[in-house]
Amino acid sequence: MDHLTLDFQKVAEHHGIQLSLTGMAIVFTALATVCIFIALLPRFLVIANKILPEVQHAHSAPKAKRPAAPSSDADEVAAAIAMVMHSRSKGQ
Amino acid sequence: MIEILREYLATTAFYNISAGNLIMIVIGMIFIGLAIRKDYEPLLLLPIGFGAIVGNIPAISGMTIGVYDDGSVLSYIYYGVKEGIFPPLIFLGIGAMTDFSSLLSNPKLVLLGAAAQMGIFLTLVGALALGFTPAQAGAIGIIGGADGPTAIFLSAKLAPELLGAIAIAAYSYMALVPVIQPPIMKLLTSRDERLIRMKPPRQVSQREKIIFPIVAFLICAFIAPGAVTLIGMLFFGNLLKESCVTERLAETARHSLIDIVTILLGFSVGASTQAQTFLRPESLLIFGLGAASFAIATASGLLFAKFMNLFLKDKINPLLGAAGVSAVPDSARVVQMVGHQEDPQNYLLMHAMAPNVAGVIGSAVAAGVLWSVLV
Repeated sequence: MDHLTLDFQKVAEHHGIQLSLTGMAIVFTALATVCIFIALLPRFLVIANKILPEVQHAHSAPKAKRPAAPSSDADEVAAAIAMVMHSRSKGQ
Repeated sequence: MIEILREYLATTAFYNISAGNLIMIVIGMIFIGLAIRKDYEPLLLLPIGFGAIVGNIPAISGMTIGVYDDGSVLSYIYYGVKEGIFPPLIFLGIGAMTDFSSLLSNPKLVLLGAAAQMGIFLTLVGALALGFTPAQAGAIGIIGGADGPTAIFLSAKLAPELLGAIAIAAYSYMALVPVIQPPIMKLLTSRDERLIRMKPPRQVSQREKIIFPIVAFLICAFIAPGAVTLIGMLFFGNLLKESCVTERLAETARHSLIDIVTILLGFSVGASTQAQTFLRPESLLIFGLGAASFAIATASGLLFAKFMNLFLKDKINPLLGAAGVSAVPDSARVVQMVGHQEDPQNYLLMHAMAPNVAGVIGSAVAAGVLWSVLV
């Protein structure tokens, strides 16, 4: 089979242009419909949430917060130094 | 004893190997080198590369060893490729790791994913003009969808004799997206357009994320039933993730399952690239058409974004159109990179994920359409 020449007669023979246009139209239709659905979804959910409110499921419960880590000695020293410097600068 | 030795030597690869096999072994090594040294799609190029080496060791006559020998181990692994089993399983894993929030927060970006599928259909026309049969042209065109599993799925159905070349072309060009796309993006957009900033995305509720995969699947399946397998697994995986009640299944789908299938698929696709089936003039044409399909897909997405801006008050950065090429997440990263070069404060990655994942849906729908029409 000779593949090195472009023969648009073969495209016409196999309805290539029609196939491409139809295929693109179908893909566009599908995704445009999905796009419209996504755009309308929040409005639908405003009504749906009133009838069937969202429930916090046990599987999706927020994780318990960890207690704050106790400050280290270095943090306390730094805080003390900062306080002294602030007091001195106010005194000046 | 000499006779036995002579008979044995006649079965060795030294005796039976052809120049074509040696070339393919070298190509396999190049793929492995690209995967390891350049980090080009290593999860796929490394298995494919090693599979190519394994598949090109000449088979011994009378022994079932090769991937095309019925009853061989390699043929059983290849069965998942040949019968289109592995790609939907990969889509299950992809769905379980995909976050559709960016899509849900800005639905018009879905259309950019649709526009980029022009690469598939224009490449199909080109393949027909070059003398390929309609089924082969459809399988070659799907390279423009920039989706490896979809390309393998459709080639297995329409043109299994071209599967090796199509798979390697698809994955090679997906790895080259950072090289192919930027020049086209800069050529087709002005500096002012590249500087457009997108509005921050809105918060998406959990309920939206749960309803979306179910309804979107129904829409796509009703319009293109041929896409049921791929689209169904994609959205099933996504629902496993977003429902929050099947986290262990989602975890398995996006880690263990997808990794297992990727290993088997990559290796068996590589093993199928035997010299007799791969080293033909058609393979070179497939590579050329593949490059054209990526370029056309990128250009189509960009130009459609510019077209949409004629009607929009809040303009879209047209670079996002390039992310409609569904090489997830590489083309979205390329958009971020090109946008960042113009304005380091412009963060496009999150917005680019919307057309990126829409492109996955679009290419699967396109594959379904081509399969139903061309089979």
